[in-house]
Amino acid sequence: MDFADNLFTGLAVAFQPHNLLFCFIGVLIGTLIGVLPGLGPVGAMSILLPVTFGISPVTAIIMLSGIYYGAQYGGSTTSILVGIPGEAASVVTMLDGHQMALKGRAGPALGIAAFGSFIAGTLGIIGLMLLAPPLAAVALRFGPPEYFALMIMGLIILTYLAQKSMVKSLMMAGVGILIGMVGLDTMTGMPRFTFDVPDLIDGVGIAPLAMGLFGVSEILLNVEQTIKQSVVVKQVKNLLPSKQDWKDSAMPIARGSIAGFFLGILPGGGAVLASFISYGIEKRMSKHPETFGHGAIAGVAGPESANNAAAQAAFIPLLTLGVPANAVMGILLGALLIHGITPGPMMIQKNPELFWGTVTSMYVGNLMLLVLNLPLIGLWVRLLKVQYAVLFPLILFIALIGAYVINGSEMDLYLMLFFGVIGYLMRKFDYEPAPLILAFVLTNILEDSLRQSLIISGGSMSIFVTRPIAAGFLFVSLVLLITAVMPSIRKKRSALAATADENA
Amino acid sequence: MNAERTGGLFWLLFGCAAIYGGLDLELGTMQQPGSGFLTFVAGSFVTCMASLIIIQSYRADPAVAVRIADLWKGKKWKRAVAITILIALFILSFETLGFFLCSLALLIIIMRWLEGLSWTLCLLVPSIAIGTTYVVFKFFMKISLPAGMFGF
Repeated sequence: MDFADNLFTGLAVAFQPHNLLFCFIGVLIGTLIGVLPGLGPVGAMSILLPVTFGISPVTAIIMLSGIYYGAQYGGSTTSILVGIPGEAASVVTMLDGHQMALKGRAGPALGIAAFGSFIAGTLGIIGLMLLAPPLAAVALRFGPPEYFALMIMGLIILTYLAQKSMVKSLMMAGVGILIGMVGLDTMTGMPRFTFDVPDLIDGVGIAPLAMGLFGVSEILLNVEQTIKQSVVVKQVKNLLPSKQDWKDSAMPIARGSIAGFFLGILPGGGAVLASFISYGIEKRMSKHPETFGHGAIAGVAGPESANNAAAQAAFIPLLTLGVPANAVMGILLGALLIHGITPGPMMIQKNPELFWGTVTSMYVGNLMLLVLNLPLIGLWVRLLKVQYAVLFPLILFIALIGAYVINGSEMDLYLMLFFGVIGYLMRKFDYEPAPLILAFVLTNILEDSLRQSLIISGGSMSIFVTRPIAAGFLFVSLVLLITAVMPSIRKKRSALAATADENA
Repeated sequence: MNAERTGGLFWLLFGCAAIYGGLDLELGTMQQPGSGFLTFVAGSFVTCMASLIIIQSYRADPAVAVRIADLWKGKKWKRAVAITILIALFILSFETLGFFLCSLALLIIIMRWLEGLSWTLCLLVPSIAIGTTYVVFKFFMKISLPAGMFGF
């Protein structure tokens, strides 16, 4: 099948009425959770994972993907109007977007954020369509050693780019692997760490783990503090940016799209990093860097484009290699596995409807988001006035019922509560949950590829350095680990973490 | 107590337990790795990282060290504890009392007792949420929710 055939296959899937409906539900929920502070896309996707059990895999992935990229759009609304990031990738948008709102230019800020997101999102999808099939073809040559090395590299990059301590992030990845060990050994059938509890034979589910670590822990942290939301703008007018706004934003959108796309592909990269880097690039390239932080429209256009391009590009490693680039993709991987689909190089050939249907649905989703974000801005402004005291009990209730209905088991509820408390304590003590969840979903593939590699090589670890691709991945990992302990890099990482903390 | 050191100690114990678990499951050989092989490797890795954190906590400037009590200073931590207890009670009684009673009780207790919202909101919002959830799961997804001892 050539590109045009694939595109038509995808469009035929994406335009099926039920897929359109679930795409709309996904982007609507995504925008909602992006707009409302307190619950990120990872938490929302894990809470809604059980809802997808009654629908087909392609519809489920279309909806879950919609939540992810929808949240990138919605997050900017809260950042601009309230001055609180709706979700992590919108932290940078807040710096200039909120200043624009304070100066009476909320409309153009929201407008350029939506248009920039749409343009970058669309460019990201085109990149995804062009790059994914050849990458999958290359990945077909991967054997167990290459997969093992690739996953190690992914985990190292993720921890390298972590905002907090790299040692802690690496350790969390180790903890994630250990939690992933619970259940039957896939090669020997031996139960591990089940403590004679029958419900643990299948292992710890991705849903209770993610809901606990991201959903429940977030609620526990939020109820400890008073969340004050004051919308500075009651009515938003003139959403269409002026000619000058477009002139000032055209290049930032282009640069943000390109930077975001390539950073999104990197395992461990993603929307947050892309938005920070785009902001840095724009400030450095601007003729008036002193205007940044005081309402420069380029400071909104660049990062917003970057985070949306990155959100689309993050699908590439998942769909072509079966390796999730970030925690959100980890949840998607979990969802695919629950539906009996193993993402990887064979997926494009074996399940073309799922791959091309998901990708083309993103075009449709991006269009829906443009409609949701511009004409419905008044609705989002009103929603921002809903008290957290009303919202969080509902989020908690949906999470509890969602965790229960997966297997109809109380054990999943206990696990969710347990990991909720663990996640709360982890965040208190500055441990990031993202490496844990990513390592958890990779454990099975990681263990199988390690054991298969050792069996193939007769127990020699040299198999990882004598095969060029595997050696290349491990070399990159080693370089990252070495540079991370270099004093100059450590200083820069600490400074970045401090900036992120100040802005968050 | 130093927060970094305490956190490191916890994960050190966790890593040691994992090493023990890995050995108990049998490591196998390099040619034929056993069920405990990766557990042992991951456990050793966690132990090393935790040890590093503990060492770093001793080398850090004591003036900037964070104590455990500081993590909860100025926070309404009792609310987080109350929510945790309420969730535990919800889980304990969910299958016995059923979906409707448990859900209603949980939402009303949080909204009225913990958040002090008006009775109108406390009755209206949970009723809509519980009703919608029931319809979605029962009729659209054909998933049964526990009826409990009262049969509803």
